Parts: sequence; C-alpha cells; structure tokens
Amino acid sequence: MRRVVVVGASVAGVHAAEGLRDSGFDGEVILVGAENRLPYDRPPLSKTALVEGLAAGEELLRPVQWYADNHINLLLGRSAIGMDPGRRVVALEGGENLGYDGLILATGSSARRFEYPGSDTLVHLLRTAEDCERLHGTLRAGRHLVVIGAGFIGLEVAAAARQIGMDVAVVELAPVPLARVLGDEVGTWFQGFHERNGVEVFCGNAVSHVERTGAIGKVHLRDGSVLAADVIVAGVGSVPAIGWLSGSGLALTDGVVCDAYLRTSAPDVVAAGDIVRWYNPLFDEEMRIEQWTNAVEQGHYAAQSLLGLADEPYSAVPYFWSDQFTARMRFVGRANAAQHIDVRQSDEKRLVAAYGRDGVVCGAVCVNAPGQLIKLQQAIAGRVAWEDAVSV
Amino acid sequence: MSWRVSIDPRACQGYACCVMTAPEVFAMDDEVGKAIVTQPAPDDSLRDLCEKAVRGCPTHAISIAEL
Repeated sequence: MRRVVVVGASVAGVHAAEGLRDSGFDGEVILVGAENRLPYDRPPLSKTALVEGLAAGEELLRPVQWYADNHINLLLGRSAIGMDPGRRVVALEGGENLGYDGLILATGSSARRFEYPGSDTLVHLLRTAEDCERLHGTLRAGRHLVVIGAGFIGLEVAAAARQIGMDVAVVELAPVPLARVLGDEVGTWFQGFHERNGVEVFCGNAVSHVERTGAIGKVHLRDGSVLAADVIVAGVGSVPAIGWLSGSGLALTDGVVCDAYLRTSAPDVVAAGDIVRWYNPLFDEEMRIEQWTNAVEQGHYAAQSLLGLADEPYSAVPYFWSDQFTARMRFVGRANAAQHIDVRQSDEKRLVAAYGRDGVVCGAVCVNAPGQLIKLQQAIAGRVAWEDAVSV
Repeated sequence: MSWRVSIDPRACQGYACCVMTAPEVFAMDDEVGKAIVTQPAPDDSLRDLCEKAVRGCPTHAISIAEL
C-alpha cells in the first residue's frame, strides 16, 4: 500500500492520519477536507467559543507544523463528491480524481436543516467554525433568541446565549427535553435546570410559522404562543454525511455499513467516526455513534485495520459530555431501549442516574458527579448485573 | 528507556476520559473535579493505555515524556 487517502478532516480523519503514522505506515498520506481551514475541534463551538468567540488557532486539533512533521499532505477546501471502488479513485469537486491504494472514510455529520417560509435569514444552524463565528456575532448583537429543538446542541446554545445576556426560549416537539435519549426523569431535570437559569422552555410544542417584521421576527407556536426573535437557532439533529457515496456501490444504511473491523463493503476501504454503522459486541447491538471520543478511537483503529494490524474487533463504551451553565453532564454507555432507570441522586446541582437492560447496567448519566461516573463506567464495561449495580 | 505521564491541571476540565481509559494510572480528584496521576512512572505494559489516554483527552491536557 503506497498511498492512503483520508476523506474528512475533522477529529476522526486527523486521528486516522495519525494512526497510520503511529502504526509505522511510511507511504503517502493525503487528508482531504471540505472546509478551507486547518482541522479544528468541534465541541467548543456550542460552548466557550460561542460565548467568547473563536480565538485564532486555539481550537486546532493539531498545530500546522504537525502535518509537515508527519508528512501528511493536507488538501483543504476540497469536497469529495464521489468514489469508485473498482478504479480506486475519489472524485473531488472541480473535476480532479484522486487515486488510492487504501481509503479511510471519515466525513462525519451535517446539521439537519429546518426552514420556515420567510425565516431564511433568521434561522441559524451550528455545525462548523464558520457557523460559530457568524452566530457568535449575531447573538452578541441580538436580544431575543428562539432555539428550535431541546437536544444537546440546542440546550448548549441556549445556555451560551443566556451567558451573553439574551432572552432565550427553547421550543421542543417532545413532551420533555432529551427524553428520547435519556428518558423522562433526566429530561425533566434538565428542563428545571434551564428554567432556574432563566430559559423559557416550551415542550410538546412546535413552530407553526415565522412572521417577519423588519429585523425582528415573531415565532408563532402551534398552541398560539408568540415569541419575539431576532435570532433563531435550529438544533434539530444531524445526519451522516454520506450523500457523496450514493453512487459508489458501497453498502449504506443510515451510515456506512462496516464489519467488526470497521471495513466497508469495498476492498481496502475502512471508515471511522459518525458515519460508521457497526456491531458493537459490548452491547450486542448494531450502532452508529456521533461522539468525539468515538471519532478519536475509531479513527485510530480504522488506520490499524486498513494496514491489517487490528487484532480484535472494534468495541467501545460510548462516552459523551455536554456543558450547560454550571452543569457538567457526562454520559457513558447506552440508554436506548433501557428497561430500568435508577435515579440515585437528584438535586439542584447534581444528578446521577443508571440505566439497565437485559439484566445488566448499560448506561449512566452524571451531572457534576465525576466519582460516580467512574464507578458506573467500570460497571458498564464489566457488564455488571443490574441488581448488583445498585450497590455500585 | 523510561517514561513519565503528567497532566496539566490548568488544561484539565475533568472530562474523566483518562480515568475511564487507564484507571491504573489516573484518578479523579472529586474535590476540584480534575484528574490526577496516581502512577507517574507506569510499567511499560501500560504504555498503550496511556497513549490512548493522551489522544482521548478532549483538552490535550496529558503528556508523556521520555526520560
């Protein structure tokens, strides 16, 4: 294998490139990124960088010299628009075809769009550094923010805007925030926490239309409420960025279908990060994980797998975090299809809840409780029985 | 060649990823909500886990120094 192309220059792609070098690969490495800037870290975009602005260079995944030192050839501002596994080429926007011996797919996610008639310039999405820079300036200049969607991004944006000093309302279709992911009890805690911090939360509700009067909009809700808004942010989820693979013949099902070693259906093509759908043996479940830690580890692993150096199937205990006001939320494992939930602690500052399914503890959410998080993570990784986990 | 692991306490934000990756080497200080190194000069058998902790730190707070 002489040339490996990595498509996608965010956290999974950078760790894949690094993993190739860590594994001793000394051939050519080309890292292709659609955005015309050095690879950067996304989690701060909805937190500190949104409140304080994006400081130049601060959120870079690696300093510019690192790419030169490791002989990683950056091809930035170039979107991949297709691939042909038979001819072993990736087609780039502008007409160029890039040949490969090995290919690592790491194109991540895109923010799901949400548009209302008349609201086009009011509604912001938040996915890229450019989105963050634009939204930071808009929030600083604005007074009334309406957030559509009480998921993690929506709640983080709401917290950031309150810290900036805006009036903030959050509109959520489900009866409780985050309920689909974490269940009613935990979602209700987050709703109360945001309300105590001055966020108005409208659940079980939806936007019917947006009325525009000059720079100010009025957001009309289904129940008749009307919210003033000079900024609207839609945080309504994300979708795997796999549209460019649709004509490739690769097996795709809500992501790129991979085997236990993150190999796709095409020879010498592996995948890493948000787009990967694979069977995680630790949870006996086929899954796709849109999380930072997973992108790091899958990036590193996919490089080893491509080189034939992965000894064990890829398995992981998912982990993610969200920082909102003073709440440092950490989630470990899985909560979907949980049959049990045990809320162990719930007060104004702290929350600890464990989730169980199929007789074992499978997930935990901890707010401002790092010691509990560690104990529960070990119980999840060790597949401790639900009854025994009560004493963890 | 021996090596040592350290955490920059100013950079650490208490994400606890290192403790979950290598509990033999790292622990949480619950009082301040940050991670600490409990074994600064680990055995070579823990090298891979420590490297995993370095790359898995969201704030790049962990480093390995060769002595």
